[in-house]
Amino acid sequence: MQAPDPIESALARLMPIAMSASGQRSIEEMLDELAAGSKVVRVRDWRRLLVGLGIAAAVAALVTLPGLLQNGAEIVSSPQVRADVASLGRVHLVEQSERVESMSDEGWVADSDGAAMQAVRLRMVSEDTVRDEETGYMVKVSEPRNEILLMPVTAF
Amino acid sequence: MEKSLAIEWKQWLTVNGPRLLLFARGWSHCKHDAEDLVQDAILRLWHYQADKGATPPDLPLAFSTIRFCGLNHHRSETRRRNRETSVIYLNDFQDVWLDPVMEEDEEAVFLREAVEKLSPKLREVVVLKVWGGLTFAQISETLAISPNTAASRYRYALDQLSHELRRLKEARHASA
Repeated sequence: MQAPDPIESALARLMPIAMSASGQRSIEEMLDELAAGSKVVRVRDWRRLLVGLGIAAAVAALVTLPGLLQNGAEIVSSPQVRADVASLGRVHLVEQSERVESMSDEGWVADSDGAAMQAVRLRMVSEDTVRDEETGYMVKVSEPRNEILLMPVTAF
Repeated sequence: MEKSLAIEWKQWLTVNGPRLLLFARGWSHCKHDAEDLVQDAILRLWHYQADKGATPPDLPLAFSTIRFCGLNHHRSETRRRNRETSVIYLNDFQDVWLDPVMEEDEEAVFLREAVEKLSPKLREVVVLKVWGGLTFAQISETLAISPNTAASRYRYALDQLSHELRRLKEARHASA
């Protein structure tokens, strides 16, 4: 068995610092809130599932059609989708989120000043969860998009 | 049920919080920002795990989520900084990454500083391997690099740390 590198032994003696009491408490409170609201609604009847899908399609159409009518074939932008969702009378915006779904390295590129930048392609997904007051159904509207993130190269 | 779920996640946080925080430090300016990053990642992980039994995630997933959150944060931070070019940011020299209480000698202090000075690419591999307890295969998943790259970055980082430690000791002896 290979003996550990002396520097590894020295590193192992250093310990990561603990979270601050306020930081720990803040996360624990968030976990309590998340756990309290984590009742999952399961649709068991396929007819109810179809009704749910119908409502989802209707909401999606309500959200996208005004934009399409105004701008021809132009795709509705995310802020507009959110504004439309929020402005609908009987549909309440419950949650908004944005997450990075995947990431790939695109190598180095030069910016306009000629500085080396690391390009990373991000697949972002914006999600709005809305609730229909009449039926109580929750509908999630997802909008995936690609973004290129440029970070200065500071180490070689 | 909800209570036990929260308890399970809190226990997971108690066990893994410090190592997640250490990894988050690589993406943050101070401890407070790093804690915010960990919280953001846990929120995302909670929703992500909802379809998978709502159990706490495994560590490689947690580390890679922190990395994604860090990238997001970096993106918005860069935009903000571009707007506030006149602001001068000062380092908090008391704000250390690794626990000073556990350090019994001068070598440990040097080593801690040397870890903080490593380039981000090398440092994140060292953090994941030494304090995250991940294998090279898990590190490769977390950082989207090959296991060989992870292993070679780790070796290179250890060489740099050894060299830096030797240099600091020699400088100390020369001045004594």
